[in-house]
Amino acid sequence: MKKIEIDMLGQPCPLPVVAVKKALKDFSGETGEIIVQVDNQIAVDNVSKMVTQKGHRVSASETGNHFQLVVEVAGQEDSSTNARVVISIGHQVMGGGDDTLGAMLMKSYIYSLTELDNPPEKILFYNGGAHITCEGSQAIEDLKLLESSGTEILTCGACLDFYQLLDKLAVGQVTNMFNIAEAMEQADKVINL
Amino acid sequence: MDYLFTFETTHYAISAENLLVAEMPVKVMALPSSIGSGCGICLRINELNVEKAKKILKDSAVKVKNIYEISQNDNGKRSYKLWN
Repeated sequence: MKKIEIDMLGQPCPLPVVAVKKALKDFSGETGEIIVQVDNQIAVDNVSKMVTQKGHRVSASETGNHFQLVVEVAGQEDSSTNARVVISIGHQVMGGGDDTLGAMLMKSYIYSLTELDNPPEKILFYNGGAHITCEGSQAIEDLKLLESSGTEILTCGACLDFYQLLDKLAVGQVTNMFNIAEAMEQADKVINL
Repeated sequence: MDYLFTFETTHYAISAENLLVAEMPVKVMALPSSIGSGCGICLRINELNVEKAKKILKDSAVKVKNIYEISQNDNGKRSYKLWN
């Protein structure tokens, strides 16, 4: 039986959810077990919610401030929530035409993603899109909400560097072109903005 | 709790955001389908700032259409009740 152990002690939300999601993918249809160590109840709740939604069983035990989650990975995930949707955002604005309108449409779009029943697996930000995940962007709060429901928010590091935004990233992780290419290649559907 | 400001036109929504953004956090969102068609962009303002926002917009050329109270049920679904 396949078994994966994940140590998420000291890791802030949403990293435990992201790590368990990633581990689930490594099973690709096999059954098995994921053992996760976390140090807070919120992580226990969020991870439990995510795996239950995907049709796996989970149990938790607690010793002091140390929680251990055992996820029993079912062979087949619930296919309705299983589609890997990746959204790729390469502009600061949505659509071509007027940029003031375009910036508003982009904010409105990101907010709307938070209302979807099945949030995207990943959102990739590059070139002008890198501004959207940095300090001063009005989409940060909505992106954090998406992140807490398990969406990976990834911004191109070369782009952050180019726009001198490396120390301004306010949500998600820095990524590189290999990960961007891989995320697009492995997705069931890529939505390109 | 948040309040939702809707506008007669998209141009008014954009002007309203420009006027308010220096004074308070403003969130742009798509007009919920339960409220109807019309200008598809509206602004979300926290209750702490709703009176101030109302005043700023009243003193400007922006035409606010309606203001709604946003509430969220246990399933996370939002509903909108006409407030003004």
